[in-house]
Amino acid sequence: MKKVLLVILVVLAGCAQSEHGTGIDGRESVSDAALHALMAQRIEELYQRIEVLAFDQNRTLPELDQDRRRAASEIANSAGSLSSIATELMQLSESLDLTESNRQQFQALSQNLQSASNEVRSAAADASSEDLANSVTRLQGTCTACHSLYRGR
Amino acid sequence: MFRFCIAVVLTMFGTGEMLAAEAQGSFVSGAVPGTVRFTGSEKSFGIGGRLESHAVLSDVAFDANQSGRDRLRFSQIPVERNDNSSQFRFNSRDSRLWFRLQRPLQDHDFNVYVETEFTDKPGTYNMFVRHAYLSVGPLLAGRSYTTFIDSAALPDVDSGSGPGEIFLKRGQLRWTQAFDNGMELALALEEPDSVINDPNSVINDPNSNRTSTIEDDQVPTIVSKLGWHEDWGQVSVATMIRELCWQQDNKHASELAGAIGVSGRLNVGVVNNIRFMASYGNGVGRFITLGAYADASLDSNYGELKTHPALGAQLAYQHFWNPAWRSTVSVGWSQASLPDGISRLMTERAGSIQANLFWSPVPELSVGLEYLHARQQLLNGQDGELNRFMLSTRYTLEL
Repeated sequence: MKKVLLVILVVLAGCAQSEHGTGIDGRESVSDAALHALMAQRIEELYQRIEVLAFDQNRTLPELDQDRRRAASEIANSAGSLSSIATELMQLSESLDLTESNRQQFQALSQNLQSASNEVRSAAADASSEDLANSVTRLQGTCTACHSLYRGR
Repeated sequence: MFRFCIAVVLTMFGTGEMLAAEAQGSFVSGAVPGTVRFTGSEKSFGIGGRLESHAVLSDVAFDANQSGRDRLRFSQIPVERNDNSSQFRFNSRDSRLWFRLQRPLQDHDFNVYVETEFTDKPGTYNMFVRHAYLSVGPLLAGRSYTTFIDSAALPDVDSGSGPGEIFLKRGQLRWTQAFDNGMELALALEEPDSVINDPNSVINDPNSNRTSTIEDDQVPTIVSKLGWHEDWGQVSVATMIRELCWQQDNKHASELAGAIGVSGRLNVGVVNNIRFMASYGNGVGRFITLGAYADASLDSNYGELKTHPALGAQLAYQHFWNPAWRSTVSVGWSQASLPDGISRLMTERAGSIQANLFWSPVPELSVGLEYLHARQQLLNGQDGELNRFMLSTRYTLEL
């Protein structure tokens, strides 16, 4: 579970930092910098708080589960925000200087980001570690593919 | 061995459905961390425990049963003793075993949780039940921490509970109603267990056990707690109403008592935190300072109970130097207002400070050094102190 959440952090933080500052087509947009950075920071804090629960030696396991669920629920909310940003990215593609084939590819990757974010949100809400791991892997792939093709353009 | 353990657990708690799944030999991760479930079953279960070992260098605490030599018992802190004796001890107290079962039940979570702990007796260890409860959605029935406190406020210390800390587990029936705005309200009926001083017990030695327990309660304790969970942390305010009761032969005395408490944890930055607990009332004496105070005293005719208003507070700060190293400093204080007519050798106030440094290269393992300084003062003005160093090693194992 912890490994899975760590992967989520790495992926989402990576998404945030790679977009931050460069901007697509030189534009500063809400979706690029502010929201990405805030989401990444928020998710990282939540993950760290989940991690240190392991040192709460006097609480019962169901009590700790309750706190983990609370944090996982907020991770799910952040993943939901990422999904919304994916929608903004799809709309942004119209104003980018891209060829038609690249535009279609950009939109497809944005859709992938949206669906992967939705999977993370769903898995985090269910606290199901296996589903979460799979959805995070897909999200990671989406981020990597999009950034390798369109970063800095 | 593992499959044998699973089979034993299933025999004790399982159903035919789970036994059939076990026979097929396939299980997957459970619904919550540290649990597994068999394919096709919605029941997740987990077994685990922790091994804890302490090496203790301490001033010698007097006691009748040696519990004060390994645990922090304020009433057993030696008073005005000048022999400067110390001792070195090893113990494995606080080692634990637990079992849990979790499954969905209609629209709720159903949990069974049993946690045991080893406590040391001279030459051996006994196992006693720390927690044993089941919960269905908002309803909890069984033994766990008193509803009066927020367990998230308990500090990360190994040498024992400070004087303002409430660490009691009670048999209880609790209903917790959560609201969408981060608030929750808990109402509980709890095991009362009045602790009453006998005025005619003769005490000549301050270094002797001084509190008598008489449990003839007739009414459960009523506890309510209102809690807030926010991004900055969590805080709870609780109230408690108790009937303190004593009866023997044809004599009977009772008194209504109450208490108010606040407890919680405030985030400082991301993972550092402040944990606090404070309580006041004439029904909280038995809850604080680990039994150093009774709830009430009988008058010399055994006809009337005089309650002991008491105040306790605990403040702890936990700091993570990095993911592997952490420290806690915890300060506690308590005082009871004791009536005239009781032995002047009763504890009137107590205080302590604890500081530690723990190393956890992996979350399952903690190795740490802790220092404890504790004091008690008697009603007659005599006082005593205890210093203790403790090297702790703890390893937690879950499925």
